[in-house]
Amino acid sequence: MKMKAMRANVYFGFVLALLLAVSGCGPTSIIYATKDSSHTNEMKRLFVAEDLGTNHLGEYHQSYRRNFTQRLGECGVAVEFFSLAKPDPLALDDSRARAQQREEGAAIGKFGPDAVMQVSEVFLKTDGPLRRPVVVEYGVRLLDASNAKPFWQAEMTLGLNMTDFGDPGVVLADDLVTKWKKDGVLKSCPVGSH
Amino acid sequence: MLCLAACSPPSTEIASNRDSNYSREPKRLAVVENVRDPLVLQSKSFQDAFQQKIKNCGIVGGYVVRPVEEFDAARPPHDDVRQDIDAKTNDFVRSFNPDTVLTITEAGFRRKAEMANGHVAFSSYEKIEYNLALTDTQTRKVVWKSHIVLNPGVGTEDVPGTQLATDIVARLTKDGIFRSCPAGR
Repeated sequence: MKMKAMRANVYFGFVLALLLAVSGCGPTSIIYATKDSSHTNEMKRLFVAEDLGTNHLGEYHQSYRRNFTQRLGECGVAVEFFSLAKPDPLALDDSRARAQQREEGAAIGKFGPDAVMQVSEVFLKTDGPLRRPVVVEYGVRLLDASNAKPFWQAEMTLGLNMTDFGDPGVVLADDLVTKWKKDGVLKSCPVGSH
Repeated sequence: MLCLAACSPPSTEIASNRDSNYSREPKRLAVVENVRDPLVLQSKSFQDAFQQKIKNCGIVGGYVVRPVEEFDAARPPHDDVRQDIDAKTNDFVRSFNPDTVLTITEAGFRRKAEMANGHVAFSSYEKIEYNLALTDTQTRKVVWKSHIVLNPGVGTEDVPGTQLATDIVARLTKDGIFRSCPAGR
């Protein structure tokens, strides 16, 4: 875990150096991903379960969703979003959490996806000199809906500053879709096709 | 002496909620620490202080650290190490045979980025958040929950763990869960 923390420091330093030192550069992301090479099913209907906690994307959340839907639509993939509410840490009974699970299950059943994307805001947060978060880390997993088995998993770091030069929501969506193309997740939509 | 100028002591903000119907008192407590990075909770100082505090209340403690799964690019996505970790945790809890289980979960933290000598530098942790839940093993019900924000302070490596342990026990005492603790502890 120490190595992990060291690596985290290194790449956070790298991201911030990119974000702060390069003038004219917009928001940036870094994605570390792993894929199950034996997974061959084509993804055509994607259900996105968002567990974004504090949701540092804030005003850029809608542009992320819009761009993600558009980019995947170009690849023939239909998208449905579902937001998981932040649980009350003091609630003694889990009825609300169970109700939310039922809602999510019903939404999945209604949409009929072939893949489910779980995206969560990992709790690592970094504040800049102005006390605003400048780097947020996301955990992203793609599960095959037929057997709930993960076939792609990533840790994604997104810079939220330099917003005068770009929209971090668009960057998040663009970079994720591009990575899927490179990784062969979107088989019929390779890099350069759209 | 240097520390007098550069150190700041750790502090906590605690919110809690207890089940008013819970009337038993923990005597054999399993503490499950869900940790992501080597932060305060893993430090020996936390367990040592917690053990000492609950011993004074007549409670026997058993501790297990359950690392939260971290991303590993070298591991295929379906290689689920979570099951092994959960199995080990459950084995420990079963063998300890507690009357109550306290789970302590790191829920978030905050670090500050600053420019120093032309480079980006990260401060030590400014704030670490924990969610706690106490479960009565007889009824399998959660009887107490808490949310704690720990400011680890500066230049006080072992002190935050001690502070966290002290404040958790004090809160459980104040909330009437630990009823046999000496006054003022």
